[in-house]
Amino acid sequence: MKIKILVVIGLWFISCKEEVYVPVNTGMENEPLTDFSILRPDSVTYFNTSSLKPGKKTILFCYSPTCPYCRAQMREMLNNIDKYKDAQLLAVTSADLKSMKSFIKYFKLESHPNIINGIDTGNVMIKIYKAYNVPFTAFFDKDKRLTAAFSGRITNHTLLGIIHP
Amino acid sequence: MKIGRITIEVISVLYISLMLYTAVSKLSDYNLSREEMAMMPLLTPIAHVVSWLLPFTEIAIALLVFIPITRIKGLYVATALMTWFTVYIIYMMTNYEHLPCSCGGLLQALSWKGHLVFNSIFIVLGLVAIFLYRTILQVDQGRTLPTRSSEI
Repeated sequence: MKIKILVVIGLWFISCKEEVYVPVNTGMENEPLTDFSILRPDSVTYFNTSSLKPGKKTILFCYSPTCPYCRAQMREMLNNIDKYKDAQLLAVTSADLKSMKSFIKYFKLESHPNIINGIDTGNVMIKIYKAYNVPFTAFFDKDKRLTAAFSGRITNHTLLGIIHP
Repeated sequence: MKIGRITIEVISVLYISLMLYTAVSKLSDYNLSREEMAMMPLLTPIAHVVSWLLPFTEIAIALLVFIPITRIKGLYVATALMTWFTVYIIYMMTNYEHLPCSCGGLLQALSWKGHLVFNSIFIVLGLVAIFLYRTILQVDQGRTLPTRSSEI
């Protein structure tokens, strides 16, 4: 019986997971957010980053609609959306329009005015910000200067630590 | 009979470990489990329910197998659950090309064929344990089937 209990307790510890993400050196640190456009879900209009509200922090979230880690990070951000009300979230993907729309519908993203969705048709995320893996999250201060970028899933605790240091 | 009892103990520990391991893995990262399940065929609309229900069912089964007086019931339910998982895997393998995996912990590293073999081994182990349990019970009670489960 004692061995059985020890085996079971041991497995509880083994099954714990770590938060896995790595900082990305984009070479764009302290540089202003690049001027680029994303195709909106209406498939007609574009949103340009120069239209982002001034004086607000910005989170650039690059995802794939079928990536479970991206979806989990989006879920965590939405669960705590009140804590991000002072920030703008630019949710960008390289996926096709249908997949993006499905993602937006699933997470009801259009009901959040501070979330801007779109497709990175110019692959700016890869070319400029080295977002080779998703989820990719970049943080910009109120002056729209890049403060940090991460590859991999970031938990809400880490995200809030960066947004509200 | 001693070998039979030890075999039942070993299989019980394996089932308890498996159930608790996968349950804790899922619960320790609920958001990830939920989103992985949401991408599984047939589970999408009920992922938010299954992502809670499944780990708690696994914990309940582990408890049933752990407690000697309910062990036989636990082994029946555990074997049935593994059989259900296996049927689901076969269904998905035959109907879908790209499949996500929502298993917890190290089991995520298994391929779908690997899952099939892994589950099949556990089904066989479950059946062996149930057979041994019933046989030992019959011997202990003068070869009469028990009316209720009791500790071996």
